[in-house]
Amino acid sequence: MHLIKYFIKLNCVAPQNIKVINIVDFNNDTTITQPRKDIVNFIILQRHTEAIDKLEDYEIKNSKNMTSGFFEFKGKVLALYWTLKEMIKKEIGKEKDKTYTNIQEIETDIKSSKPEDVYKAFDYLNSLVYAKKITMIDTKKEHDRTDLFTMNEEALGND
Amino acid sequence: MIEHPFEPFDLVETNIDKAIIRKNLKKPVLPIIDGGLSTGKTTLAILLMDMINVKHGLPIVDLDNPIQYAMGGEDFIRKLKQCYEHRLPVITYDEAGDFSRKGALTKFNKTLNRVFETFRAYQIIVIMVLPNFSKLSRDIFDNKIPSFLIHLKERKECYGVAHFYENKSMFYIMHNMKSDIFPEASYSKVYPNFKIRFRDLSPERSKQLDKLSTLGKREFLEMAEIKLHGLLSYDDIAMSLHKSKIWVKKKVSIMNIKPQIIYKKVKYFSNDVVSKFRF
Repeated sequence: MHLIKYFIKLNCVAPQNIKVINIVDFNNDTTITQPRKDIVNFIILQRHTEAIDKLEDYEIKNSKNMTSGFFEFKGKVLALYWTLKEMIKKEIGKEKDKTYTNIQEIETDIKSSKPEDVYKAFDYLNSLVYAKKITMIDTKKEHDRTDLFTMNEEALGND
Repeated sequence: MIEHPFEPFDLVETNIDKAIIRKNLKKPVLPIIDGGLSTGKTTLAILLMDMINVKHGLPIVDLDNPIQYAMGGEDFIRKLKQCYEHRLPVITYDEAGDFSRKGALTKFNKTLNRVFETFRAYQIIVIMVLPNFSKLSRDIFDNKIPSFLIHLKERKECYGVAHFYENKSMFYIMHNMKSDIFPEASYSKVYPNFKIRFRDLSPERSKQLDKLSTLGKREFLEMAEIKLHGLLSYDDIAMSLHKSKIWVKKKVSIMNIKPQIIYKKVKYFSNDVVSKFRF
């Protein structure tokens, strides 16, 4: 658009072969963005960490025979659930162990007053976050460098 | 307690076992041993051959009648055939510097290239020994024939040091060599896959190897002398005089001319013989 404006200003027509691209406007923050995937991943990670923090709080309080902290944990798990809801809809029932077959069951478990049910739901969400490579960091392949022939095969791209 | 020739032994053994499996599957197995002079290249090649022979239930390499040890390309081609006939699992191609890039277009290189493209069919492991692997003909690298590189470091008093590099590292070293002034620096820039130490041969075998190596080197010297002084064989004399070989032999015996060198059972005479026969 900027290029077209520039040609209009010069009273001439923009050549056909020039690609009109949006030039980054450094005065406007919205034009400098990160990929949406990165932002969503970050939000999920944040919610996941917060849920774990609340779980820790709850467990500490529970060990001291205090009953508080459970609802905070539940709230955080629910927030994580809502963030991942569309993803869960796609993935539910595809797992080998089939913990849940219906999305409603997860919501029921999270809203349950029994800690075991919430734990079960959180465990499921935790696995999903890992499976979607959001918390997966153990992706580095271990090589046995002393095995020369296998290294040669790997270098050629043969598994 | 068994005294192994290598330390650590299991690393060498594992890779040799894999090499044997590949060889049996008719895949090419070509380890390259390179290193400066007197670093123990031939010794290591003999030790590896011993290991491979033993794994096939065969006796260790016979250094008195060395079918499995070839010096230079011509000898290698001849002995490769013999090894195949005797069903031997390994052969060493020592002084492989003659198979260099400089001779890329020569008939000799083309023949050797063909040999390296087809040797896998004989189910034999070829150990190549030369001072610098980067001088080797590029074709064998393009055809992905070399298996791994064993680079030898300065030999210590009673043991040698060898660094093993995978195929990819060989290419990096070769690339570095283009810009490095000091070639040894190119090896240090790439971290080896593993390092080993190897023992010397027993004094008896060491003597045999010395004899063998000296004999081979003497042959090279003789060949050099033939080329430098332009020495002539019966065939050469006969060709230059347009006479038969029998006529030349008769003349030589009548005039009692003694050959200057006998190289591979062929008598070579000085080039003034031709002028003697003419007048």
